[in-house]
Amino acid sequence: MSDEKLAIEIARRSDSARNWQVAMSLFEELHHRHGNLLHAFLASRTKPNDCDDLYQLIWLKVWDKLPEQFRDGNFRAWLYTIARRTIIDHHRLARDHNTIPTNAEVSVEPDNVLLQQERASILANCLQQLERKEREILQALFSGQTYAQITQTWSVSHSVAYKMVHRAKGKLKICVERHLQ
Amino acid sequence: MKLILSTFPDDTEALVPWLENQLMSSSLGILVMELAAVHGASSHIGLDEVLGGSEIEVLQVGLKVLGKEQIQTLLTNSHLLWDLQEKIYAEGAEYWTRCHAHASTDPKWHKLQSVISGASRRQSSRSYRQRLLTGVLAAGLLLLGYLLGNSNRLRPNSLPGEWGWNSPTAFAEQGSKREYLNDLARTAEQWFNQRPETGQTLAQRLLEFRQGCSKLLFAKHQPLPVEDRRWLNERCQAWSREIDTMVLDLETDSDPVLVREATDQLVHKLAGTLRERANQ
Repeated sequence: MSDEKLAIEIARRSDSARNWQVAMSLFEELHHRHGNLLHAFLASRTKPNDCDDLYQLIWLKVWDKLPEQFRDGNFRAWLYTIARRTIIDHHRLARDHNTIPTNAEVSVEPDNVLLQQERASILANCLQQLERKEREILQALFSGQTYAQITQTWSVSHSVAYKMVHRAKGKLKICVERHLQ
Repeated sequence: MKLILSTFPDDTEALVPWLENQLMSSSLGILVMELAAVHGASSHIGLDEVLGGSEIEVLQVGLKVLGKEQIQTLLTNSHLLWDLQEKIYAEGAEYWTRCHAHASTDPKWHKLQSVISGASRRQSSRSYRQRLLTGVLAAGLLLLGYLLGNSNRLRPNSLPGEWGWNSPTAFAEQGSKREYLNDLARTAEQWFNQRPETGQTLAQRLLEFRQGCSKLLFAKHQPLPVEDRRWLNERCQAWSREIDTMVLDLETDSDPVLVREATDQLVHKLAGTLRERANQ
């Protein structure tokens, strides 16, 4: 059964015990299909502590709103619209309560901005500690350039470029992880 | 804490699967931040502008339809990865969910079910008798589920560690080449049924996977022509070596989450390779 058919059946639930059980089992199927991705979506945008609460809140909203708000169309698009709005509301509340000065993008939770700024600053500092050529080659690799492009731009052989990338990656990893511990 | 960029692939062919895996992972936010720190301020370019006319194809068959420059723009304007993730999750075709299987949702469901039940009880105008009946039914279903779950666990052919290619039923003796290789791909993807968090549990799971590879190497593969058997054995030897490296990485103090993600990529790759061969 498609997501949309499941959603419509759930939306038709009534108060009878049998009907409610059927709706719950269909809802379980929807949850099974989309739960993990929704959780990953939330985890990419919220603090670990809030992620599980928001996850439940979103599914509760879906359960509550299905009868009145879902007519037809794409269930997944509807689910992620609810998810996105819930995250925005959550961020807004957090801003109101914490008065953290923020230039955060909608996608990132205010508390996370501070953590992420710290991580970004550590990473940028560690990059600066690399030799200039190592840093530039690594940045080129992280922007999706091929070894062929790298060897041409920096006039080095493939094996030299390979060694430089690996040495630089190793140094960067050690530096960042040491500062984050 | 881990540096996700340390897993950035050298091989440009591996870049697309790696990026797809990141888009389906819960740590995308960290990657977005790391890329932004490496590349500095990004432009105000929008996702539609980057994808151009390829959007529908990306949603259908993944990032492999994008050109090198489009991938580079995504990496250097990493905030676009968030938008892309949302689009894929909301509108992506089966490719994205099939190739990126995830762990069981059962624990989350049980928690949610009890919350919904509680909320419904508070809101419902149903009679006490109806609620009692519902409760009895729910308890009955839970009991039935529990008993079925236990009976499955008690079956002699599902001992701990016997999953994937390590399962007694992994290698069919009959059927077509296509079915056989597709089954092998599906069975390998049982890797995703558990998501070990610690080094020790991950090492255990990797060793079980490795044991499955060994069984695959010794299996007869009767539905396959000789040429395909040879190909499969060669591929499996290469996969086994990669798994051995993962175990070694774990034992030399690598971050379990990174090793698990690397293994995820390996499983996606090998399942894709098997399916491709099945269709030849």
